[in-house]
Amino acid sequence: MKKAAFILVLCIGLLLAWAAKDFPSWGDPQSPASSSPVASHFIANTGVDTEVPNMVTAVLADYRGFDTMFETVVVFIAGLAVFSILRGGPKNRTRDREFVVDFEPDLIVTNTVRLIVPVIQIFALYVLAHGHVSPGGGFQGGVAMGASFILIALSWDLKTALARFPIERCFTVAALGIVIYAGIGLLSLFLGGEFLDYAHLAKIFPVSPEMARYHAMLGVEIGVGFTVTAIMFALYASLSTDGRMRDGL
Amino acid sequence: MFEDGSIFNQLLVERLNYFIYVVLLLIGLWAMIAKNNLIKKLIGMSIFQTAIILFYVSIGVKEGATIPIYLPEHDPHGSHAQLDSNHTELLSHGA
Repeated sequence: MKKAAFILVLCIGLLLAWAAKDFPSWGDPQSPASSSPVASHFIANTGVDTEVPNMVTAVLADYRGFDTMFETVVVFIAGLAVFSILRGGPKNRTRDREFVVDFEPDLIVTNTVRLIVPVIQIFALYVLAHGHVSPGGGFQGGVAMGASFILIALSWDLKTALARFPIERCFTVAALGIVIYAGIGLLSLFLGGEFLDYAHLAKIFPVSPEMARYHAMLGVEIGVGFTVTAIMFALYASLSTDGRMRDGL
Repeated sequence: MFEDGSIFNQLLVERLNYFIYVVLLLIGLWAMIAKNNLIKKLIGMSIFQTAIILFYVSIGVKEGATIPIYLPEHDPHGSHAQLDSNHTELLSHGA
């Protein structure tokens, strides 16, 4: 098995090294990635079509909004799959291991976490809300927000974290994020545009079409942030307890 | 062995970044296939991802370039743009 894997890896390595001579050299301004018409279109038109200064966000949430919507759906389905596989199997599949670990949450750890969790959450909200002006966005902000709940679960126990963010609410919030995203898309569809063509939202909001795209991008990023936050925590809660949702790590 | 045009020169001198990317990718792939410990598989996946990021940087890097975010003064109709005399000139540059 290991020998076969080694030969496979070596073959792939030789193929990749052979292909490397066709790639552009370091810092080549004429490299295909830099000279493609798609890239120059995005660079030239982001500032004209939208008010968003961050071209990456404009490509992610507007030009390729359909792709990002289904990325969010993939995150949701992954969380749902982990939860249902671990929860659903035969009841005596895993021996009901009794961890009789009688421990108090550590004083220093819990007090430190009590101090830094609000900071983490404020930073997560900043990354989310500022994602179209500086690097950041829904996925990054959602991960930071989910990590704050995981930190609570690690420093106290899972029960404390689940009291703040129950597992049922996780999936409600995750589904709500997708509904926000698809809802903004459907709203622009009903206003006469195409699905996720945010410029048509200017018909009902008192802003220019470019500014409508700006605000709609913030809206879909918030939807992504909801889903990622909830699924991060749901994944941790499922995996750390074999799906039993009690006495985690 | 390292004269111009030889395969070693191409791979190890001119395109060292691609060589490092291939090696990192293989380490990650090997760890994911051959190790039984799930944490080691995860570490392998992380190394694999690092290799992919190095690859993306390698094909896209430019000398003297900056991040793909408009500076306020280059933004065609950014609200923070400074409305000085050469604003229209900057606008035609940005768009």
